Amino acid sequence: MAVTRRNFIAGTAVLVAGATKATVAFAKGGGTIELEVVGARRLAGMSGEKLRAALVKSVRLQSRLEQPVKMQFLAARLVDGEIADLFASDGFELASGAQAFPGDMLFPGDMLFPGDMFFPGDMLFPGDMLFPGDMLVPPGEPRAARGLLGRVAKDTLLRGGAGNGIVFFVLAETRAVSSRGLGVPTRRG
Amino acid sequence: MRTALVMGDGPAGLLAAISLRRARWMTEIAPSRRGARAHHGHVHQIDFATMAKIEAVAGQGLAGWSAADLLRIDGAAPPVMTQAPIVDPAALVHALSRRAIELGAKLVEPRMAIPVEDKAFDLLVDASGSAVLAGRTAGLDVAIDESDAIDECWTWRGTAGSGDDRWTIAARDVAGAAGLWLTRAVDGRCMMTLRCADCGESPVSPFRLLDSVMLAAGHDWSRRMGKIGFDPNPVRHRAPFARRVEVTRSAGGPPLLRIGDGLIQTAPRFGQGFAQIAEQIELMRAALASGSSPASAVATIEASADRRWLAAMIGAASEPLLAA
Repeated sequence: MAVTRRNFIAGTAVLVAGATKATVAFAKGGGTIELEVVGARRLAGMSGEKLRAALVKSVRLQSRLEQPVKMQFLAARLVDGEIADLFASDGFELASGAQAFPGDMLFPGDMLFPGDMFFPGDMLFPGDMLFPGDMLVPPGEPRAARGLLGRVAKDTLLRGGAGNGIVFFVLAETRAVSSRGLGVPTRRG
Repeated sequence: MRTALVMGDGPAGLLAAISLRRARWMTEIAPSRRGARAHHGHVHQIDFATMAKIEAVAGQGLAGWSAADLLRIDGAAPPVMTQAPIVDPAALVHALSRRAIELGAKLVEPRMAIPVEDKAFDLLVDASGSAVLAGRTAGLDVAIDESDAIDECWTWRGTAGSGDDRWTIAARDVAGAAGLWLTRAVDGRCMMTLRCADCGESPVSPFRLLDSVMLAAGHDWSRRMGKIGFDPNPVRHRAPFARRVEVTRSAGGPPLLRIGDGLIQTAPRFGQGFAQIAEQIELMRAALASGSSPASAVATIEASADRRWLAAMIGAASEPLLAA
């Protein structure tokens, strides 16, 4: 019998146009994690299983932290602000100075969540805590689940100069972390 | 006949018990020992689709909820009126409890721990609303994952004069409040819930909030609110923005199916919780109806909780971007 309590924080960030690396910044001078997409341009036009397989080969994380950090990694492909594919890794631990290839073991096929499954029944996106009447918003309104994530991802990608692409999210297990992800522009496909 | 033990007599436990009885399981309900929970004192606003799912399980004509006028106020935009279900959680639980008993579920003594090795049961359902029961159980390891972000609600109760009028106001960006519900029940009771990321030790005065809502709602609705008086002492509920409880076991025994707040809790809770329960019960019913093993129902519901957790965390991650 054991009870453990873990605290998670999550975030997103932008990969500027033409770049393939982004830094995951940790609060209070705790260090950084480098997130790299090798051959990001090759992901253009990919979707579904092909994209999953490509991500497996191309994502790298490198820890610049003093302590090991437990984290989870997500990738969403957006087309015109709508989620077309969503991949989520299992949790994994990234040791100080170590490099991780989260795709190797962390994008199992059965963890592929098309948007419709991710937000069953057009439920309110839980992150949209801003409006108490949201439980009553009819499906299709912009504040519905996918709409909100779409807005976020679109915003992320637009900062990188693109309307479509892949956005990465990182969840990290620590109270002091301010984690980030990055968006990789793709062509419509 | 297969036998199930349901631990917890809240909406999740009772809906599970009703589903099991309808699938011809012998069902025992062990009530929780907990007292009144703070979040039961807040306004619960649920969509019609969720109520339809609940009635699909429990049967039509369920007491404890009713449709009422809803006024949505979104900052300076013109208010919009629609209809919405308003739930009295205590009355709804009472109605569900009655249905479960009518269907043949048997009430037994509360449990201090989950009987994970009791072969008398073919299925154990933990709907106790927290990780406490699992945490007390030998042979179970409990991991509680929580978001760093905090969600906080304050609720004031009061009266709103006589008459059988009932209505709800849902407001955003009024008087600096991120979110606010104000509801009047048919018996004249009223309740106002303020939601904020972190209100500090004492939020804004309820009377000032009410003034702002009246101004934003317009003349006709201000008249409806004219006789409201609040008890100045609010109920406070402060919790992580999302909480996911994972349980692993070291020994065999009957499958352990966990549902409700003890499995996954995400903001906004007062309504979202019911929606998640309805979803979990649907998954459980589908598994029971298909004749698949209870273990597969467990796996399906745990996976749905994982998705909710991820969605909540992405939502939390998205807020700074949206704000920017």
